[in-house]
Amino acid sequence: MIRPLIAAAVLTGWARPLPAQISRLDARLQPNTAHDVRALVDSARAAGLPEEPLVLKALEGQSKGASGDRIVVAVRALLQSLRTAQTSLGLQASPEELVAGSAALRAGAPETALASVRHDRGGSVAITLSVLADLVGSGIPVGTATKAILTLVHQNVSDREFLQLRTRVEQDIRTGMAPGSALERRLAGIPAAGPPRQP
Amino acid sequence: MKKTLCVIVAGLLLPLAAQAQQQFTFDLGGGKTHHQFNPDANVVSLAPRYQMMSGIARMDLGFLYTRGTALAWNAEGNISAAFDTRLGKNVSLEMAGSGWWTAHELGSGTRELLLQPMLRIATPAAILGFQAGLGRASTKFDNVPFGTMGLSLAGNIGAIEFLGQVSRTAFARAALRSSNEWANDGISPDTLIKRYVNDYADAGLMIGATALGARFEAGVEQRLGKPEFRATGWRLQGARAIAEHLLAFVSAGRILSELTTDLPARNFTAMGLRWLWGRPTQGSPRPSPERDGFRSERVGAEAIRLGVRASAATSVEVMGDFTDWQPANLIRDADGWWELIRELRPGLHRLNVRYDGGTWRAPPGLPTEKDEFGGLTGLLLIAP
Repeated sequence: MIRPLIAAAVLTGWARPLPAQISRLDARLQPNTAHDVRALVDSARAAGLPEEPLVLKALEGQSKGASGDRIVVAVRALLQSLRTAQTSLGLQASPEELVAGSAALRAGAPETALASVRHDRGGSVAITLSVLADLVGSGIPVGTATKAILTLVHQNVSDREFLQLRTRVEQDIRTGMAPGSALERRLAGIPAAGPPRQP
Repeated sequence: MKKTLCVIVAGLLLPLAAQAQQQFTFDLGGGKTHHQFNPDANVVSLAPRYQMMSGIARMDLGFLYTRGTALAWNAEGNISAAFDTRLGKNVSLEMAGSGWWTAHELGSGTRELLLQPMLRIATPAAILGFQAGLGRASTKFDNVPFGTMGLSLAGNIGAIEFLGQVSRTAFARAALRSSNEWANDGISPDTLIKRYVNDYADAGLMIGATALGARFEAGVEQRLGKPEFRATGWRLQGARAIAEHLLAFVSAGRILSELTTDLPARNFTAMGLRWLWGRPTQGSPRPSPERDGFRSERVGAEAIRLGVRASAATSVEVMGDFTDWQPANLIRDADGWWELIRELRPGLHRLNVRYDGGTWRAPPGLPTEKDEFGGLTGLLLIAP
């Protein structure tokens, strides 16, 4: 049941038509900044990468009062991480997988980890990589979180269990437990859903 | 001796109050009440209350004055103070003392003093509390020591907060004579005063939730022990902010008798207004299992209610990918929470909040990532 829903798990507004994206940029950015961002968006489109995250990053910078140069740098960095995610996950990767993979990379996960998750896990890896980014963002050392996620992927843990793990770790952290300890504790409670996948 | 003790406590609390969260509330209510001394009376009530909480201490000073058509007047006052000590990351010990005072036109009134330490242990699911206390209940005619022990469990299941309690109280001797002794004929067992009681136990469960911009609470209490004293109480209550410092509330229920203060059981329905001043206190300082100041819950197929706790703020805004990174105002709720309902599709969302037009920051308690603009962005993963 989860998988078909995950197919729809996209950042808000991904399906916006291109003219709408351009008008949003023009409406809120300085003309030269909008021009540079549009060039990056065009580049993403040509590479088969999702464009809306780049537009949203530019709008985020504008709302936070960033300079035009800084906005362009941020959008370019995001584009680069999407490209790296595409390299690791493959050309067939869905937009939501690329966005999740980009978030994991920016959190510090190595490219090899993305490739391993793609290789070892059937179906979409969007939730798996989102949980990885989420765990690192909660303060768990990237190495510990990556190792844990890869271990669970090998155990064929379901998306629902990944989400449960994330929820329970957050609960533990809220009670004052160290993030790394919370993950270790909760890992012990995650059952293997089936036999390990053969490499 | 009493004066010395008061000076010591005041000397400890007053400096703390200068830098503590303080709140003053004033309730003006009206409704109907029914108990052994005051059957089917329309009443008007006034209830000022002062609360203070710092990192290590809290104080609560309350007063309730009720004037009705059948009973001329009834007054209750309470004061409590507590000092909290962290014994570990998830364990705290609270040393609490409290006093109650009651008076009404038909009697001489009662007083109670209680010293009650409480050990709280935070677990991932809830906060477990153990308490034991020694007290003294007195009337004009009598003075009886008593002891009490209790166990409590507080936490939340999703958006619903709960508090379960079990307690047992035993008097040093059965007789506590009061001016109310004459009123023991033709009344239900629960309203009999404590001269018949050696000990009793109560169990209660309260739940609360915030929905539709209002705060709702429900509770049930069961008196255990001897069959003649068994009784059930209940309470329903709702409150909603109608202006910046004003709440409207409505409540109904049945309160069990307070056997140490000699208050009879009573049925009641009431509604009224509460005026608030100052920063709301968060109750006792304690380890909390709640996410610190942020929550999200699904309220429709794709609608998510986002909540930020910011008791002292006068405005709270949120922006994220779901608002096209345009600021959106949250609406103040009854208990320090600010809320907004938006359509958020499953997936990883990024968002920031700001208070009173300040700088954008990651919502408290959420995982974060660097935003490339010199700050942090909160990550909110919405499950399918």
